[in-house]
Amino acid sequence: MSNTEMVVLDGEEDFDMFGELPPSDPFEIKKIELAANLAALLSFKGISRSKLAEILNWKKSRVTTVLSGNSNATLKTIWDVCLAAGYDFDVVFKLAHERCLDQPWQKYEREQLLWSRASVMDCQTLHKPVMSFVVQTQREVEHDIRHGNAKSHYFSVMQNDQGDTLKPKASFLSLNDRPKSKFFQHSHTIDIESVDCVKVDR
Amino acid sequence: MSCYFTRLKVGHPKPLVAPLDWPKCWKIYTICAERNRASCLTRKDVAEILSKSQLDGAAARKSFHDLLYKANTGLPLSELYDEKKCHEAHSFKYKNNEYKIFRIWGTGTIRIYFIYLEDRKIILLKTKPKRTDSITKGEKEELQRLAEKVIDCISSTAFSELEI
Repeated sequence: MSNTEMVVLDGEEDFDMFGELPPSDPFEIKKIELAANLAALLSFKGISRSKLAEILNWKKSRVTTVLSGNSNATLKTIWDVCLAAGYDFDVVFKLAHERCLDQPWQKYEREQLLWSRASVMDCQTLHKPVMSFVVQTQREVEHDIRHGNAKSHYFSVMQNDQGDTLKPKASFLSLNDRPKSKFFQHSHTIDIESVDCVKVDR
Repeated sequence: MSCYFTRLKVGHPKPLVAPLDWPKCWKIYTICAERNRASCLTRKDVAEILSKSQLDGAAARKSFHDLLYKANTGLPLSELYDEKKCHEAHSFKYKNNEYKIFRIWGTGTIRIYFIYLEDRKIILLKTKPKRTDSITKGEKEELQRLAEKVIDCISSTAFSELEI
């Protein structure tokens, strides 16, 4: 059998494939980077180019141009795209090729847009009054808390130490007076099986 | 048989850079014919492009910049490009498995052909200007030969990085 070796070459030796061309215009590269980040934001949020055009009342050709990396997008344009994705943006100064902050897709798992199809469950047991539950992702919970829309109680589904989810336990927890705290106080614990739930999609 | 790979880096003036890696980013490699970066096939492709058209050469450079930034996001490339710009170009069966070669239509007429490997690796196969969208049988065979060489290499040894 032949001795196969796979080697990735790296190190100090750099070669420039495009050395005979005039130097790249750094601003042209920045436009490409910006467009790639805008495209990534939309992908992360599950917003197609068609959907973005619909939200912003743009022609599809304009969306293509903005995301192509060829256009000199205005602040207003960047703002409109960010807003359509539910985001704001900051201008952060940094050294060349230095990474500052992580982008949303680097911090969070890609969401399945529970916001757009939040399901509300109305539950009642023989002994408890009807309660309403809204299914949210971690991001959505954090968003609500940051914007003063925190619910009075949160219902967390937990696994046991073995990671079994066959009989998950749930605990009602109350936000303490420190909404930014990562640690919530868990109070009353119940078995999910003890709650009869009727799922209502909205 | 040995096969060598080097990370795609683009930029001018030096130092050549690629966006900083993070755990879920796509890493783009080019194939090197010999144990030195100067022998990388993408470099040969670019040299051939530049020999015929500086405009196409500039378009290739821009296409690589774009690909590097999009790949760095770690998100599906097909969602980061316009729907007509990134799609499957050719599929084939090799050693009882099915493989797909993808194509990106970059700036101008530049086409970049590549395959995906495990652990978020992308291997560039061919970069060329192309005035028509469809690829010929000969072009498919050429791409498939390159892909099969990469697959053979991958299947028989672990993909490890060494400093040269």
